[in-house]
Amino acid sequence: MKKLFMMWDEVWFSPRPLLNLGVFRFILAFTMGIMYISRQFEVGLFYSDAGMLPQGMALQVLPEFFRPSFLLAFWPDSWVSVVHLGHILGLFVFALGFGGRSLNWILAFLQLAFLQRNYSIAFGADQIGALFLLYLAFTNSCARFSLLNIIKARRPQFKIPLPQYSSDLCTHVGYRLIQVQLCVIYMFSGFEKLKGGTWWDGTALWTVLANPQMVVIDFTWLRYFPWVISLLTFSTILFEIYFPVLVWFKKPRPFLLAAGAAFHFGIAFVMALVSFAAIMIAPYVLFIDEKRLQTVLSKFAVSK
Amino acid sequence: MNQTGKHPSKLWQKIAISCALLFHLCAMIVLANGSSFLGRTLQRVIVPYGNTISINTTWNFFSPDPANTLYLKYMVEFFDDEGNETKESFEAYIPPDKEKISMDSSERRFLYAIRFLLLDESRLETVLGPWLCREHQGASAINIEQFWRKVPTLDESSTMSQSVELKEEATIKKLRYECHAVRDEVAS
Repeated sequence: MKKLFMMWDEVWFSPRPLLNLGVFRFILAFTMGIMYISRQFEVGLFYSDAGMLPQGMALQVLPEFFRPSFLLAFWPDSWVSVVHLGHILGLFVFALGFGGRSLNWILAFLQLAFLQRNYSIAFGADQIGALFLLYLAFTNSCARFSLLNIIKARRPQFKIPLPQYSSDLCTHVGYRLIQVQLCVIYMFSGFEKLKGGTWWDGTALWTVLANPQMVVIDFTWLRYFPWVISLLTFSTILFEIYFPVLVWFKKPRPFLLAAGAAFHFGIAFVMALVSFAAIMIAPYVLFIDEKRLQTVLSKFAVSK
Repeated sequence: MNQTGKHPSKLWQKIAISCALLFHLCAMIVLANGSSFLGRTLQRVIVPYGNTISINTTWNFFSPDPANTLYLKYMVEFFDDEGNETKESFEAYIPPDKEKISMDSSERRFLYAIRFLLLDESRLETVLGPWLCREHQGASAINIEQFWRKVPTLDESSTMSQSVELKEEATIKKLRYECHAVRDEVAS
């Protein structure tokens, strides 16, 4: 029993590298900021009573099992544009390492509120981004890889007062939760695919690649190489099911992260789902050895 | 900072955080397969929490099978109460470029929303119909038709000598929505 407690303690409460967390924060918040710039031009259509889904219907369109008890979006229609713009600006400011936990909590709240206000327009990237932002709010993610740190390192003559951040219990837990959440997403995504006939058959990716509404260029020439389709289909399932287990072991980890990056870059290139790819790859940083990350970043003088 | 957990206050912090963690992990894992026995059993405890933080979701990307092409055709009618046509009826499609990917993020969101609304007939009547009426001021009725063109299977495509053609259009649903209620609402 004592051993079990010690393991639990080690897994959830041992210190985690703040540099990795800072890089993750930057990629996540920056990607989300970019993603929502385009949404800013359609806030009336997506989030107002005059648009496609009036506020009174926002929760009613959801099946009861998925329906939140109350709507977090408390602002009137006339404010939606301003609130949305504030959300975008906040994401960029946070990406640069300002605001700490307070700003992070506000952004996580706004993210959830916009998500709930109109679920029908939500991408997978919105939902996963919301969860990552929420976990990040528990951590001291602005301690490293922030603009203030970089300026201070490059211009020591500027006496910039830096906030005192340190790693604490909540940071350790938040860090781990992001990693575990990523694994749960992959695991269930893989399991769900096992229910599908075309995934078992090894032809599921054909349905995607031959669907002109889903791909940026014509991939139908791949019908002359059906084994490629089957290989990619089965590789997808194997990757999603085994990633959550194997990523915790040091030896296979680099291969898995490389395979995952290739997988998501592939999706980004073929289906133009760049934001989704960036949000899924961002937590990979949390699995990288801190010293290696430091070495890479120090080449660009941004390792502070 | 003492990370060993031997300090009493630290220990209590860890116990409190661990309890919250166990609850959250339970919600995270069970709600990913919420229709399971465990999901149904623990529903009252974890679903309200899961729905508030948007963790109640099945991570079913492209599953169980990837979706086929899906379109919406609608015809807008303009008749007055006496049955006289006040404006010429017209037909439109969503997406307008039927067999082309949309690269614009907002347009994609819009298409996702249409797909979501088409999945359930009650959403067609309560959300999509009224919205189309609002979009086309003065319309008396909207005839909505949902249809798809299936992607031929890999086996079928392998035997095609020319380029791969999607299968013939097949209607999934048809609905007529009268715009009177929306017009009265706008007028008031």
